[in-house]
Formats: sequence, C-alpha cells, structure tokens
Amino acid sequence: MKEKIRKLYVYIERNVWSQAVLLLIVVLFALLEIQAISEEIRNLKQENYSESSILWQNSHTRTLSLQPEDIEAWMTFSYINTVFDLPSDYLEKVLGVREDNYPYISIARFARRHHLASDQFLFFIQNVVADYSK
Amino acid sequence: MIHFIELLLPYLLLYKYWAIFSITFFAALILPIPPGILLMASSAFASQGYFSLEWVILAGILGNIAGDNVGYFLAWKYGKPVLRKIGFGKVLENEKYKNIEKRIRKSPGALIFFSRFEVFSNLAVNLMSGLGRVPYRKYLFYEAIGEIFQVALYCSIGYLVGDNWEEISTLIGRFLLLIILVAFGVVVIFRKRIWRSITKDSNENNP
Repeated sequence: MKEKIRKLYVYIERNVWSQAVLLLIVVLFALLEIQAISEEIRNLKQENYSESSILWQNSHTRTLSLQPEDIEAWMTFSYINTVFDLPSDYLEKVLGVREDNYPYISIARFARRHHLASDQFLFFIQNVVADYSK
Repeated sequence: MIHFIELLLPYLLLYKYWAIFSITFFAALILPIPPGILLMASSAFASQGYFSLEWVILAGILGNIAGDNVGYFLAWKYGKPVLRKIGFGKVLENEKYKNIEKRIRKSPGALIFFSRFEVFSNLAVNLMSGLGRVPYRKYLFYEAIGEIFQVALYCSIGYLVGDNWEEISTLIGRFLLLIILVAFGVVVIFRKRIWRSITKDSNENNP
C-alpha cells in the first residue's frame, strides 16, 4: 500500500499532465463551492434577512424573531421557556406528565422516555407555544 | 455536519459553560469537532438571554487553551516514542521531516496563530509544535492570542446574527472549505518554491 502511494506520488511529481488534472479538480471543487456559497446567500436574502437586518438587530427583536415553528427537537424546555418568555411551569402543566428532569430535558429525549412519536410531539409543543404567544 | 452538531446542542443547553469548556477542550486536544459552530450557537443563545456572553467567551478560551496545551505536552513527551512504535520511525529520521521541524521551531508564530481558526490544522500544528520542541513560552503566547481571536470572532458573529446562526455557520463552513481548496491549489503550484524556501532556511541555520 505504502509503495503504491509512493509510486503515485512520484508519478504525479514527474508528470505535468497529472498535475494539471489535479489542479483542474481543485479548481472545479472551488467553483462548486463558490456556487454553493452564492446559493446560500441568495436563500438568506429570499428569507428577507438583508445583511444589515441580520447583523444589527437588537437582542429584543432577535428574541422575537424566533417563531414557535422554529422550535426543534434538540431544544430543552428550559431554553424554550426562556426564549418564548413562558412561565416555568406552563409546558409542564399542559403536558400533564410528571418528569423529574423538567425543564432540563430536550424535547427529543422527553418524547423517547414517554414513548411518544417525536414529530407529533414536536408539532404539539409548537402549537402550545403558539397558543400562548397569541 | 449540522446534524452532528444537533446531537451536541441538547448537552450544550443542559450543561451550559461546562459543556462549552469540555467541547472546546476535546476539540483542541483530539476530536475534530468544529468548536466554532458551537461557539456561534452559544453566543446566539446568549443574545436570546439564555447564556451570558462573557461566560461563553471565558469558557471557550479556557477550554481551547487547556486542550491545546495538553495536546502540546503529550506530543512533546510521548509523540516520538509512540510514532516510532506504530511504524513512523523512518519518517522521523527523514531529512525532509527534520527540515520542517527546524522551520517550525524557528518561526512558529503565524503558523500557530492562523491554525487556531480551523480544527484539523489546529490539531496538526499542536502535534507538530510538540514534536518539533517549539519553546513553550513562544508556543503559549501565539496559541493563546490565536485562541482569544478565534473565540472572539465566532462569538461576535453568533451574538450578532442571533437566530440565524445555523445559516451563517453553514456559510462560514463553505468559505473555509473554499480557502482550504485555494490553499491546496497554491501548494500544488508553488510546492517546489515552498520546499526550496524551507530547506534553504534550515540549511542557513545549520551550515
């Protein structure tokens, strides 16, 4: 194996064409990256995040910009309570399930522990938070 | 990568600054986890009021510096014996490798500083600095400054972009990959000149 790698290295070192091909591959990857970056920027713009609004929002508007539908399974109840300014026992009461680790447990782990379908449970939490926000 | 990060995020939210310290420590020591994304996420959580930005920065800097230093000392003390045991003895005796070592020992500043911004280069430079016996004070100086800059950069981006940290971190990841590709291309084109400058410098030191 080592010998094969050494031979390949020597071949590339001596053969100008193989160096050109190597460079071409690098350039192609770089171009693909540039294209992906421009697409990412375009997507960000489409979501109405102009550069200035992303960078210079104050912390209050930033907090409000997180919507209930942005809640994800990795988030803990404690985090959701803080970000959406919910009373600390609000979700516990709505869920009606006693959980020793509440609110220091993620949505995904809570769903696993109580044998709930993760997606449906996440959707339920999003709705409950949206109801409170109204 | 973002899916892998999502596995760590619940622990970040649960154990807060201890999680930041542990993740940055192990990322600097041995695991190629991109701590920049997690620092950005933590700072975004700080902008939402869940974390304190000062503590995020402090935990990030301390974790990174501790991990780097442990990696450096392990490489210094056990690096060469372990590499010899696993069959890299010939590489260590190779003249080319010795030249690279001398070069790093002579002027490690920029290399150590800039390598802090990318996880693989960070691990590689810690290892090379330990193996190459870069003077500790010199190493600590550039390493600490590099880590402070790195943590401050990612934390300020995370704090400023807030909820959009996931999109921005993807964008930064793509930019970093582009920079690596360009650097690779430059090395391929100018490799002979680069090699000549390395050997010339070390030959000047050892006539």
